[in-house]
Amino acid sequence: MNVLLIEDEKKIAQFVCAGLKEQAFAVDHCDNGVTGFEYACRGGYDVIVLDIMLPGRDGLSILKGLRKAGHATPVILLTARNELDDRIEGLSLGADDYLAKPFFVEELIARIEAILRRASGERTNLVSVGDLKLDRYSREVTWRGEAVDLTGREFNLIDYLMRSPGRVFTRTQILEHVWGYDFDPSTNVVDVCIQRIRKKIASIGVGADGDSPIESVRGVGYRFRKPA
Amino acid sequence: MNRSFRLRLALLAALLSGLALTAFAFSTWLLIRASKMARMDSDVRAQAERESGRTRDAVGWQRTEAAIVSEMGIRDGRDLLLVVEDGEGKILYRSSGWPASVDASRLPWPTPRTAAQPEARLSAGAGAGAAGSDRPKPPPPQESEELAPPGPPPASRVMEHRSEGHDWHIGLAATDRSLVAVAVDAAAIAPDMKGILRAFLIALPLSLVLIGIGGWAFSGRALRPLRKLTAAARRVTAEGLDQRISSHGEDHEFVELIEVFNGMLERLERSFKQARRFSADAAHELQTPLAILQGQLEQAIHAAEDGSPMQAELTGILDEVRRLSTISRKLLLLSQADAGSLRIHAEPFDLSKALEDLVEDTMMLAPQLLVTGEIAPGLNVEVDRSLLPQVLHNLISNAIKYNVERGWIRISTARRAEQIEVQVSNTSAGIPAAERERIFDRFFRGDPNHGRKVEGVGLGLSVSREIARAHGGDITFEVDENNVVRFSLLLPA
Repeated sequence: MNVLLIEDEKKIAQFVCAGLKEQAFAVDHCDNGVTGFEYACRGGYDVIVLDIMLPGRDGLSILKGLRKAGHATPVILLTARNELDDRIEGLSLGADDYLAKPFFVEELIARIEAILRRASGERTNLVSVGDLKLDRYSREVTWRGEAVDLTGREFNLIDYLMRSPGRVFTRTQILEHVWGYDFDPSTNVVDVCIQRIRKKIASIGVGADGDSPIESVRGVGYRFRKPA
Repeated sequence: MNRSFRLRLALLAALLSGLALTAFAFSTWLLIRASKMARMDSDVRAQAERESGRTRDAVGWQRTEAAIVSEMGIRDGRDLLLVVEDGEGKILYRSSGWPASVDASRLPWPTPRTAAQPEARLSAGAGAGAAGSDRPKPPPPQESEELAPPGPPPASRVMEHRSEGHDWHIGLAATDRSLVAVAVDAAAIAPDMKGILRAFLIALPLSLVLIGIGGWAFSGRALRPLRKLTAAARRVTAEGLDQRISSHGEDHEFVELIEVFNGMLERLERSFKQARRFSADAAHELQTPLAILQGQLEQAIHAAEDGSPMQAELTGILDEVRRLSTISRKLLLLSQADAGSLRIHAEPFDLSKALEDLVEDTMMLAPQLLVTGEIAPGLNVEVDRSLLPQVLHNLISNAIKYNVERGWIRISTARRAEQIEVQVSNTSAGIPAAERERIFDRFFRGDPNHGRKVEGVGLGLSVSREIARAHGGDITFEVDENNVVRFSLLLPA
């Protein structure tokens, strides 16, 4: 998967590139609007991640130019969060999604994957890690073949963790992905939700509590158990 | 009720000109009346003088009386009386209406002149010959039985006698042969005066109405610049500070006002723009380092060994960074709302599903509370998906924070005519009356019950209300006597 990142802030570009490459994305990076637009027009990208405030040519004008030239490549806008007007204009200009700064690279990756999934138009989308299987389309979950009845929040949470088994996710990362940016960060809703998922899986009675697919990392957050 | 300045101007104009017109009409009426009286006096005197030298029988005098009545233009014959005496006090003729109270012989008759004193007659200035040029000439005595014999001109005077409601103006003339008194009642001119009065009474209200209408039109024209100012101020509220008023063609008093007003608008606009640019700049300046901090922390956390103290510490720092960006974000949102530029991107939104999730969240967040949801299915609204969830989260987090032990929270919906209402009710320890008014104030936090520390900076409700209002809705709140607090979020359906 090829991603074009147009972002002038070096340090942001650095960790975004690192994070994407870690997830096996191929990344091209431009640090100004003019070359960014040239790269974008050359095509061959699955997703373009576009900052709005850019030297040379701003993100909205690049987006406008791209859509005018008939390029349908999905675009995710990066905005400083208060730039509500930019966000509104960006969406009306044909951006596929937007992410407010500051953002988690994990969240950016999740958004990119969601856009790519939407673009592929698959009717089923099965994810399977170890004994847990889930279908993103029908939103059904099974644990060792037995159905687990999860609520919307619980499903989204476990789906998020399953994206990278063995990788630790902080509470705030989980909170932001499942509940959104604006949920009070001081709540313990993530821990409560994890416990409910664990209980539901344990209540199926197949395997002991130690088998729980979700592991706690003390002081940090949670991770999905990597199958041995 | 507010008084209309324009109406007052018009009424004042009508009142002042009404007073002036009334005074003018009244004095005119008096003048006309006085000059009519004077004329009547000179007429009776002239008639008396003319007749004083003549000798007639009773029928002749009666005819003369009728001739005088028509000559003087008197409408009612009873308003004129005639008395003739000979030199020795014998009454030759007396009109039938002559008042009994007046003894003709006691009238202050002038002393008849002798031929030796013609200059006295001239000095009196009332002789028939002397007055001939400016008084109606007596008609030629066609029917007189006898021409007046030549002799000294008559002596004459005018007197006034009031009796029985009549005001007699009497002309007395004396020659050495006879005395003639011609009396006319002042009432004889009353019909004429009444006619004049009637004309005034019609003209006055008519001109008052005209002046009132004119005053109304004129004050409307004079107040036009004021209306322009009002309209401009209204446009400023509705459309923004870039409105200006044209001073072209206005009087210089108003030009000054308009210029001052425009100057004020310009200053306001400039400082608002500065404030807005500052918040945009501040956002960029703040969000960029925060974004770098957060991204690098995320990277470092993943790089650290899972479960290591280092990883836990980095996570702690990350939480603080998140908190910082949340606060700065809310402040910027508020500054945008203040600048009137909180725009929303309305998209279809499944409110029912969001509220079901909210009930689930509330249950997870507050397992110690009884949480119920009464949510109508299929509630779809057009809202900003990034802003509205903040409002919902804020409402339930308050309901949890300010609840009591073994309390409850109820989330319900109601469909109004043009609005959808989301109600979040909860038990509480009560909100002091003094705090109720400040609940939407910035940085206001209610006193936590039982000394428990309440998280948050006190921006949630004011931000929430701004967001609700930007959607064309609102947030209201009430507390009942059982300390049940109910927040209602109203959204256009």
